[in-house]
Amino acid sequence: MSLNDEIRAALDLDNPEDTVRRLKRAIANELRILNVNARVIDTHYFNHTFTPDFVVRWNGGGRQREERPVYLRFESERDYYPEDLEILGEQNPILLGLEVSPEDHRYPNEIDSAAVEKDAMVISSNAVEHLARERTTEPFARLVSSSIGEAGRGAIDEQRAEEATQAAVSTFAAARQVNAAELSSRLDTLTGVLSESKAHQLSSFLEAVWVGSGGVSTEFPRSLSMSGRLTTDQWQFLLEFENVEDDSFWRGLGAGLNLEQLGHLSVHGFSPNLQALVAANWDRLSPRVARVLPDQARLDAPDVPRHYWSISSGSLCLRGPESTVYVAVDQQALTVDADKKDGPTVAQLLQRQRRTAFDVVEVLFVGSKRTLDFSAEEGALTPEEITEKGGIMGREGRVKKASIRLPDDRKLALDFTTSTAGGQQAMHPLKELVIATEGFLVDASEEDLAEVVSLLPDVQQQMLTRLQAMAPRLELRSPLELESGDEPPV
Amino acid sequence: VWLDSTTRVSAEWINPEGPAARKLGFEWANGNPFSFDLGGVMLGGDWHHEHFFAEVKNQVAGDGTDYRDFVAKAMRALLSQSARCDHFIYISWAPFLVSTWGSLCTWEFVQETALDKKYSARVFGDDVPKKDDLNLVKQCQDLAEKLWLIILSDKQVDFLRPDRKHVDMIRLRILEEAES
Repeated sequence: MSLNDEIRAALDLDNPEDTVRRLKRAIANELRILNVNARVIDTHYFNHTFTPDFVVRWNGGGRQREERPVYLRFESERDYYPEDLEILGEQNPILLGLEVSPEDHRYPNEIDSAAVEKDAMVISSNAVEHLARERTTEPFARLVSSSIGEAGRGAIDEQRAEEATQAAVSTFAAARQVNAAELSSRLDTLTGVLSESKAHQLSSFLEAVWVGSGGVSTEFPRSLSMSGRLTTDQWQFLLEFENVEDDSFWRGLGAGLNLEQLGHLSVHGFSPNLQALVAANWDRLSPRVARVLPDQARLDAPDVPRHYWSISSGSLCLRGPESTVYVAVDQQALTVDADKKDGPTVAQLLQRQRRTAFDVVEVLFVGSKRTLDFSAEEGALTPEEITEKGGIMGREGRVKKASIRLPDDRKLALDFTTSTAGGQQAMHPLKELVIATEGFLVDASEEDLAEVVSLLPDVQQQMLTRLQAMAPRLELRSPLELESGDEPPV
Repeated sequence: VWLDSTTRVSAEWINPEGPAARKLGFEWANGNPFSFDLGGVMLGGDWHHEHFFAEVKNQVAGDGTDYRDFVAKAMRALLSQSARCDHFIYISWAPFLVSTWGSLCTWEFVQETALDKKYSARVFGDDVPKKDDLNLVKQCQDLAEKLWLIILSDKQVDFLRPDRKHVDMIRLRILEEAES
């Protein structure tokens, strides 16, 4: 049943309360489709002069809360809209006109200019239905629909909504094809239905896509100097868009990417675009902490790799066959609880060290009767020193904590009992944090570790170079060539 | 706007010519349609969520013809759909029938109007009750208790129009309630 039919059916009900209930339910559903991230709050008022019917509230990025009041009106009363807007003032309202007729009526210029002046949006129910329907079809139109829900401005009838969504599709295609003429001719139609800040944001996004697709920033129509970061919605759109394998596209877009924003994205299962995004931008992500949790064996499709990036519990995570590594900007942002474990044995610690080739600089041993905190006076602890000190703890001895030195000379704390790497202070490059976590906190095989390394391009080369430099001291071949089960000399 | 500004009613249905027709319209006994200017619900107090119909007259005949028409409509509405008829509000910008002002919301005035030849057939159809019909008296008393008579002035309407600060305060309060 179309929204228009719903409105007519509701008005045909005898009891006014039933009518209001059905009307508002139908409109609330459309508002939820239009802006899936928003909460639609019903005030239980209807068609009141200055009390909204709904308040639509959403997270505006970070912890900022944004909202818009929605006032239902009847399109037959459109002559009174300018007066309504005058009373409602500067609260950025949406005046949603219930249209009984399936035919769309154009809004006169007076209503458009009154709405623009008040930073308000007047929109017909036919236009709302069009935008909500577009959400389920064209990917970029979906992004534009929710942008209109959040920051639409002016009078938007169904025809104008259609023009805007068509312009959305063609401007995005033009940005991907670096077609300045096409982009220039349609951009105003798209941005004309949005507030200035949202129009700027959307143009910045198209410019980012333009640059990501090989275009030159200064040749982008009405160059905006790309000051703004992409919004969560825009990243979400790109992740769900058709697969783009071009690394430079993702690199070009990722200038403002951060872990907090990634954590707000919704990803189900394996997303090829997320793999490409992280692979091209991992050096821009600076986590402080990583935590491993064991997983049930996964039932992924056969073509899904054993390790891949995903987003879960508000964090970027690396899914493995039996465990998941969650990375976060700090402890507070890490929402997964630790799974308490005993630490590894001394032999296991040394084996893990050989695989990663990171220096161990401090170890906290725990035995049945005592603990021993042992750190290198300078440089790193040698395997012999670790073996000797660990031996004091006897057969029951376990490694509870350790510190390792990363290539940038910073120390990384490892807590084996909570399977957590890092802490509150220093940020670490994603690649080293993940390799250290997989290498020390998970008993990953060489094969798994090699696959993780391959997810972070050029890390492999750096690792090999580093390992080759260390090989004489550790008397090792390339650790990636080690056979499973190799034990260090004890 | 003025009714909504009182914050004690929500005039949800306005303009009987538009989509609100079904909510504001009734039929006389002879089948002809009539309607009130607007309707809605009362907010708060003992009458919370009770329904009202209102007639708004900017220019009124000094002999009270418009008001009598309104009382006759209210009587017919009450007889045909009593469930939605909790309050009938007459809003005027000028007084009328001033010599009998005190009696305009009494059951006797209602009875006199309903039995007036001008209205009786439309209100009751063929079976117009006698003046001493106890049921009629009861119906007239019932309607008299539901009548409101309000005289407005432009200054009052303009002054009561909420400014932005009031609108924001009321909106926030209502939103708090809606979320709780």
